[in-house]
Amino acid sequence: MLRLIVARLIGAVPTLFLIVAAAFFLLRLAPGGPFDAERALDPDVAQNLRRIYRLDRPLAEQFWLYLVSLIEGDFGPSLHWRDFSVNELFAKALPVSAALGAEALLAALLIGVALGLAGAGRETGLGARLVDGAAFFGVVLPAFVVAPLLQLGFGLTLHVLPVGGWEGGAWRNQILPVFTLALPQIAIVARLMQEGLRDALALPHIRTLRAFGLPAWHIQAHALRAAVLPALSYLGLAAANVLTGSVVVETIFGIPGMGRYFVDGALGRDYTLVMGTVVIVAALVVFFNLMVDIGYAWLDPRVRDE
Amino acid sequence: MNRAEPPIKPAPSRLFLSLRAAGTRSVRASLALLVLVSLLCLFGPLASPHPYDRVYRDYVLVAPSLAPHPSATEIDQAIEEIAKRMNVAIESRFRNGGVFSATLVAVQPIDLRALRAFERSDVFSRPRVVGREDAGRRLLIETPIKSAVFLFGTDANGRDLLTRVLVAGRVSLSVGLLASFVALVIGVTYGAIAGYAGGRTDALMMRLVEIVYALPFIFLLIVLVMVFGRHFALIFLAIGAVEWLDMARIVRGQTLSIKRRDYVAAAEALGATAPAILWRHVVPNAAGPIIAYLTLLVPRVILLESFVSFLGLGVQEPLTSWGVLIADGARNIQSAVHLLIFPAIFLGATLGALQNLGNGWRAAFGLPSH
Amino acid sequence: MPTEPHLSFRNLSVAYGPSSVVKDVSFTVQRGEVAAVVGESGSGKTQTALAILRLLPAQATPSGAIVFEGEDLLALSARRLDAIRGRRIAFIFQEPMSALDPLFSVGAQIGAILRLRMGLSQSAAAKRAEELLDLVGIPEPARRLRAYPHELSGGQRQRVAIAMAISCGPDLLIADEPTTALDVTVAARILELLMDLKRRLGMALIFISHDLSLVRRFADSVQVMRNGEIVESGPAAEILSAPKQEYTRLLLAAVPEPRQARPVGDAPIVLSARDISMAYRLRGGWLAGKLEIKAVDGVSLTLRKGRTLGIAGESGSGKSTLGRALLKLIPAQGAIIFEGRNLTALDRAEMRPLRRFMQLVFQDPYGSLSPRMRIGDVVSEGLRVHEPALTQEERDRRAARALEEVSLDPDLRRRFPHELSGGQRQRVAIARAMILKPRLVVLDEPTSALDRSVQIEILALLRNLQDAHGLAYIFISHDLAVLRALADEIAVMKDGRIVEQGEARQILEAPRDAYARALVAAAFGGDEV
Repeated sequence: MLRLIVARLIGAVPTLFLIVAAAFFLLRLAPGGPFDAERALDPDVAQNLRRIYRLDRPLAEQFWLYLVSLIEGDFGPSLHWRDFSVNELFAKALPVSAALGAEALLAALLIGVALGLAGAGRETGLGARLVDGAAFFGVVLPAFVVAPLLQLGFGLTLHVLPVGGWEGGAWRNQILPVFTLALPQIAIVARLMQEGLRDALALPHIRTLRAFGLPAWHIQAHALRAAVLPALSYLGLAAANVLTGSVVVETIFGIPGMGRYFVDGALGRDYTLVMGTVVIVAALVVFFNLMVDIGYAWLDPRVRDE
Repeated sequence: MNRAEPPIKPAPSRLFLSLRAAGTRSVRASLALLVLVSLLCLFGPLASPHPYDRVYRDYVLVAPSLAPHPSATEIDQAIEEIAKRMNVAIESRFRNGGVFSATLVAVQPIDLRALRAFERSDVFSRPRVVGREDAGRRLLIETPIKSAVFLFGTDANGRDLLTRVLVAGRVSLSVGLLASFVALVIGVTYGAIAGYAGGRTDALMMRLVEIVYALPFIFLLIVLVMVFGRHFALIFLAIGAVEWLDMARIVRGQTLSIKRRDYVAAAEALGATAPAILWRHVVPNAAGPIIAYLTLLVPRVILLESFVSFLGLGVQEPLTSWGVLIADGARNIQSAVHLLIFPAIFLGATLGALQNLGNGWRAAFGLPSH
Repeated sequence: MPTEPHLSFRNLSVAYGPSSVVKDVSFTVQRGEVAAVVGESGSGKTQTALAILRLLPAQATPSGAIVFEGEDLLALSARRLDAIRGRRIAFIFQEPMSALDPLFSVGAQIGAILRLRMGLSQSAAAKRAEELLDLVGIPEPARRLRAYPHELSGGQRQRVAIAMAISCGPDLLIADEPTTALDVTVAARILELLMDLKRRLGMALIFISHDLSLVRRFADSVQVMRNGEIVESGPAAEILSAPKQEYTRLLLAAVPEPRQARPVGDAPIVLSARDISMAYRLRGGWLAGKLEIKAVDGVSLTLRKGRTLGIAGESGSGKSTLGRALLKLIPAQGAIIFEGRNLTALDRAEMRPLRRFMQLVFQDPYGSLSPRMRIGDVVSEGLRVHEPALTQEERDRRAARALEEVSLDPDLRRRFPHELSGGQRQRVAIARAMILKPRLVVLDEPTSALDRSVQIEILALLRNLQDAHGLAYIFISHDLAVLRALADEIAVMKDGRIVEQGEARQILEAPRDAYARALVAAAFGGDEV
């Protein structure tokens, strides 16, 4: 088990390195620089700016400098918000996004698993219909449609919840964004759980348990352990999806998180900011996949021995 | 001869199953819906009286309605607007069916060239001067009323939403198809090579896929769009370039399993060449799952394009896509809900139908959902 | 009352929608007896067994009655049924891998039954589980309790399943083909264990099998099933010595006729191989070293025109790998000489023209035909490679003739593989090889996936083709009874090596090697050969 964790951790290093390298060089390929917005910039000033931000060095050296500062935990200065370093921006934005994402993921897991379990019964039962309904709306209503509709319904019409803003994380401000973010994941987790439990109950070793007259709760416990595996392996992807979704949700609800910085950075060609976001997101996804691997190995002895 | 054998059991062939899946009611309904949406998007704009980029200044944020415009109040507004611009007063006005007549008075004789203000309006056509009194200080004019129907209403710029939704559909659907095609070509080639080569080549190629997997697609896509600009072709190329991973995995898995089948070994024993085996055995037997995943890929790509467009990183004005329209609707949610609702319905219906179709196919091939 | 039957089936039927897979089955099982239910695949024997404890899938609807000690199991409440399941009647399934939960240790699975069904405490259950494992002959039972199913061999898994089955001391044990998924030598020991336990614990046993000759060794009563119905039923001695039904006679006779010994003569040597070795290299993790597994290890053999070399061995013995290595379908070391020509140095392209003379027929007739190709295209595929100049019509004509040669209706050319039965498919696979007029055919378990009665027909066909065309066969099989029907010589393989090689009669009657002896004993039991 420990060997598996160590092996996966070592395996994550080249993954992260390649992602950083790919994003770095891709961004530098881009035509147009970060200072193009101010069109009439004096050539001397532009040259100066480039020197300050070390954009005049050879590309390989820039990459090396970036890697070194990255290892030191420094994401560099923001090219768009000139008075801030990327670290400073992230220090404010990351807690907001982390709260949002963690709550959405937790909600997706709790509601999704509960729904999936309820839906594993008869195909015409209420639970199964709920899962079908969630799956349908999860596909048909993307977050960027759900969010304005929620704003309209709960904010503008009923006046029970704020239309946007963060207010330092007041719970009233969190409800709509968290729900928007969680909805598609609820649908997927519920479907995975439902199918997983149905498949598990049809497994031959579940029939063995029935053949021995073991109580229903014991059989369910065995089936559940097998059914959790597909949902568990989705968790890594779910984390990535929530990160992605937060870009839209933060934009629509006006939440000062990582997603908005990323979009603003992308529109403003803020290399360091976009790079920083990519690095953080990649690290998070790698971390979640590691957690999934460990959880899987913990639940499934066959994986443990690989 | 074979009297002792069990009766021939018609083992359900995959082809048969897929045909049967295509025959279920919900799959057929999805197919019909898709065809309808595609035809509407393709031919609708041609039949529409409104060009998608035509701005009707007199009809900004008009609500969706079957009734033709202008309404009585719109006529009043329009004529008052014109009168103001011509610096005249309206003595009397009268609407008789499709014809509007008015008497304009001014302190100075009215310059007939100023009547062009009527032509520039979206409500009236070129006016005819029926009577001229008081040395040209009183003009009796008659002008036909232009009639326009805005089924889905208009946007904040006064453009017909129906036409825009259909034109946006062209963009969204073609991005969906083209990007899926790009993903298909890259994925099938990559996956088939990895699967057929096997061994170290396979391990290396799949390791690369795994690494790219660790990066959330949207972030990579946005970086790509940032790099290559927002041109239409580049957007679907970029989407195709991030969405081929699943296809590569599926094709590789299929190739690996088909490669191990005895019928491939039999073909090798017969002396068939590698391209012949790929063409005669691997491709036909992998086609079903590939098509099934392709139908699931198209809605994902459409969603991705909408997503990018929603963030303002997709196609640029005056070209539009469902994502752009929905973003517009979200911005105007307070004043005009229809701007959000109509594109969302088209997008949702297309996504739902494609998903349903893909699920039907996938179930027919007994493939897992994730 | 000693005469009251322990368990009796009264007009049991099992229907899936409109079609019945079990029809009007009635028979009784006496206390302590071994009742065998015998039938080929699709005869409804497993469905009959599953119906006893109501383990049928939800779509199945059983009707009639199964009376166990005066109570109809089909009509019992779920509670009452659960009280009987495991404690009074226990079940052993065919597939020991899938019957055990891969996510729980062996000890946890046996322990759960002991705790929840027998009311034992945690520690008492652990102790009893260890005793049970010991009883079913698993070495180091204390250590094995912590093992997971995937860490055990197939035979050990089936022993664990048996330990679970006897853990509550049932009166009746139902065993559904408990040895079919196992190698013959392992199967023999499992069977021995079952019979031993049955005697010691005084259980009745319902034994489901496709193999009438296996059953004859221990069954007290026999019911023969076909197409969901019992065609013959009665005491074993009666049925086995004087079967009334033709079908039973067919099943009984369904041991293929041994081939008469033929003089070696001086027919030309078709194939000779020297010192063939083939190793798989398993890559360990980053840190682990490389692991080499020798699938074939220094095998030499010679085969003359018109003769058959049988290669016997259990799964993992390397016999299939050897077959493919001889045809140069996988890379191997050693020298291969085909009709005087040394193939050793030839590459893929150089081998291609020779391929038509050396062909291969596979075990699984479902997997060896591409599901997307019509039978005509399957059969004529070799012609596309070796006679590319042929027109479509000529190819089609040749395919029709090839199908006729294997006694199939030439009209099957237009059909797809899934429309054919297993036996028909295997004939198609043989036709595909024969259309090129080969001189050497490697037959890799060509009859193992088929029912006995079909096996006999395929073996007869292979023999006729050999006689007609003077073919040389390498016939690979784990089944000595089948090998006996076709082989002139037999080589017994174990762990990649040939442990004994010689004339078929000598190997089968007087094997010298210990392993060969065990194999022969397992295959033919006490029967004379």
